Amino acid sequence: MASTEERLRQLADENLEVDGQPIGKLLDLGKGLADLGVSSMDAVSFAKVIEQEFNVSLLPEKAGEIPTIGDLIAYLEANAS
Amino acid sequence: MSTSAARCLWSFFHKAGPVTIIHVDLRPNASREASSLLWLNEEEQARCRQYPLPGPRRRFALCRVALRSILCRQLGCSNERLSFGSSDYGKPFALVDGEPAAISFNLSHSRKHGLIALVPHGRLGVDVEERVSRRDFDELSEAVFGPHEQSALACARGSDRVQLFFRLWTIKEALVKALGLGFTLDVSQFEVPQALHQERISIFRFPHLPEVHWRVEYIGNEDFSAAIAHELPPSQLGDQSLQQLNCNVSERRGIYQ
Repeated sequence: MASTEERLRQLADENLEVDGQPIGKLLDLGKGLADLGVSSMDAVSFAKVIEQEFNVSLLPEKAGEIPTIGDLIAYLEANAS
Repeated sequence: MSTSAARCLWSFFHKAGPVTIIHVDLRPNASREASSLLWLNEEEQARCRQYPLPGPRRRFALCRVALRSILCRQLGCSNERLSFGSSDYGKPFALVDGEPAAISFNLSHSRKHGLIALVPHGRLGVDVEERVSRRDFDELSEAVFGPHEQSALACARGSDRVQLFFRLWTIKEALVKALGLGFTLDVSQFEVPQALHQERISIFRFPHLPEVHWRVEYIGNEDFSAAIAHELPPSQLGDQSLQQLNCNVSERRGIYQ
């Protein structure tokens, strides 16, 4: 079974792009989406995709408290059902 | 990059009360991008190198150079004396010789357009978004808009819906940025006043912070949606114009409380 990180990278490749370029491979565990140039609108949209994929609540105000991709993976592994 | 070359990056866009809004040209231009790095300090250049994609790298570098150019003029200081700090929530502020400068600013960019808003005093937020049709308007609306905003969007069709979506988004994000708490605030818990669905200027108060008044102005044009929010100082709360605007807001209080 794919790891949380692998699933997240695949989701990013399928749902997130910056200037037309998918960014799954560019995700850096020590950085946030904004560090890649992802807009707040795309970040909110991606949070909705993650909610569906991992069956987890990820409201914008909660996502705002998760600064890095590494923190997001830890949150998903602790809360996904 | 010379001062005049940096000046070519930006142009006056709008005056909203005491707030000046500057437009930054973010179209690709290799020589301009290369020379812009000379204006940035080591920390900013390192940040540039960390962007893996050229678009975000360009937008950060050109907006920061334009901001430096504008602030140096406003504050009467050299580029070398200017640096930036940031709040716990990442909102930047200017330092001259390491001391906080007496100016409030905020910056936003979207694709080819950047906007910088400046004012001598008061918290300030600006947001700009190029309008692009998206498949996920409904999901985004559920995440960030309140019931009245969602109803208004549900009633709109075609390009009117796209216009209204970006209008509400930019107003809401400008307010959130002005407050300075990022998206740690539940943005669906406050609504853009009905007046601002069509009119350009209104006064706003957050439900959890009713004593603070914000002057909100929609400043979008045919190229992009954009909005600014500026905290009104107590000295302006007695102005006749504000009292008139407050009446309008009070009549509609129910829609965002």
